[in-house]
Amino acid sequence: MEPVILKGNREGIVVHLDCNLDLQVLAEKIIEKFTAAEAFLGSERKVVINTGDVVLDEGQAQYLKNVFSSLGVEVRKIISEIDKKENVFSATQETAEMLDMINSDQFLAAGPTLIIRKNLRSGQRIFHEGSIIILGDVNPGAEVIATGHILVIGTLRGIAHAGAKGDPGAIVFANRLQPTQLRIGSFISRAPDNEEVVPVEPEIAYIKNDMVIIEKYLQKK
Amino acid sequence: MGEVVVVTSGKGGVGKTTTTANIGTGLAALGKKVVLVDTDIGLRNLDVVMGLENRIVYDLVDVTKGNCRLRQALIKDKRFDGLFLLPAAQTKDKTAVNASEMQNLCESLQEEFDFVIIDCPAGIEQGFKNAIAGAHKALVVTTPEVSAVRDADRIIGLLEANNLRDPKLIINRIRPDMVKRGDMMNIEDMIDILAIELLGVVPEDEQIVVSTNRGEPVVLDIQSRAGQAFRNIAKRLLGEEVPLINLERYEEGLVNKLKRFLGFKE
Repeated sequence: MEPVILKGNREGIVVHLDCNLDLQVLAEKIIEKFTAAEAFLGSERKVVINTGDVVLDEGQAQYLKNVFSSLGVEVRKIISEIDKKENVFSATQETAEMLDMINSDQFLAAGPTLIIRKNLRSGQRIFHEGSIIILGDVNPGAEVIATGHILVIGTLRGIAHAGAKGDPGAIVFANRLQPTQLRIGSFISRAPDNEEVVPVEPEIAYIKNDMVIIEKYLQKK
Repeated sequence: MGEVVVVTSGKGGVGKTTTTANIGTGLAALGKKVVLVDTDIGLRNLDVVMGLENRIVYDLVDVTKGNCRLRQALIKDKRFDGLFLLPAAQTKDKTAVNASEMQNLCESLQEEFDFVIIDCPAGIEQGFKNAIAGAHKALVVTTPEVSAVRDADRIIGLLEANNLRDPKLIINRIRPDMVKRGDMMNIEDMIDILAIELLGVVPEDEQIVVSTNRGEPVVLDIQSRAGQAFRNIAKRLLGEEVPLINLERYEEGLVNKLKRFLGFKE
């Protein structure tokens, strides 16, 4: 990446700096860039600095401010991508945890994982030795049978059978878990008869004390 | 070259034949050259709904077996010059035709017509396979019942497996008052499960029974709300953007209108 990039946005000019460079080298680059960009800057003498994935300490920040003030430019604030990234991370934490789970030994032990990128519709049946990940919905009347785990990144409305060769350690995960019937190992559970439960968040099902337990995925920390 | 559209549903009695007759007639009314093909061999009734039963001499099986020329089997509609029907045979069964014969038939028809609309039999066996064999596009008809939606889902899966991608959905016989009370599946629920594009919603309408018995497609009845829905679907098939009809408006019967007028009802 270029060490110094100028970008304009609604709030004014943002200077993206590659702070992995030696600060003195960076200072030279800044002076070079700003001299060349005099026309672009015009009367705009206030900037925001974005330090990318580096967080500056106070001494470094002051050093850079001095460099800018020698150019007659005032630094309004210094930001980094780190603050933003933390937000992004918490949003995808779910996914990250899932990746951990997928990479775990237990997950791989059952066999290679099959990834299906479509909706499974009534009458369609998938059997796989290993785990199955479905990027889509499993509709009523469809069956997903895996000797390992079953993860549905979508709504599971049909039948899922995880650990189909008798592994009670298998799990079933769905963004919306509302199966007609859920089987794990040799255990079978079904949806309650008279109440329609509409889940609003991801849930996970597993066997505990010989019972099928369904709980909110994010609670399980 | 014309378009071959199959109207299918899986479940019986949801309105495939009514939909075929009305969309076909609607397209013909818009000036298109249309042929309706009844593939429900042994249980034909598209001819009855169209009011053309008494004109049948040759049928689809006669054409595929070479007993007559295609031209001879096509029945011209009473109302529109550009509308034709190729009736099914009544005295044979689904095995009388195979998929490649159907494909050939569709290929010859699409050369002469803007739209070839195929009325598919219920079920997923030979008759279904024949009906979809030559189609480019599929319209899936369902009613707001769990069983019909389940079968529609099955059918969509089978269509995709046969490379008929992006089928369009027609929701038939919806009753806005029941949906409002929560006693009937709503449109959103159905689309959520079926995950395909909605082409139209046809409200329940007594006029359908009358028009079917008379052999006059309801699409020609200006008064009928189902007719309006079918006219809109025909336009959408031609690429026109037509908003869904406001079903709520029809919910209000004459009695309620009167009550409101007299101040008995908000």
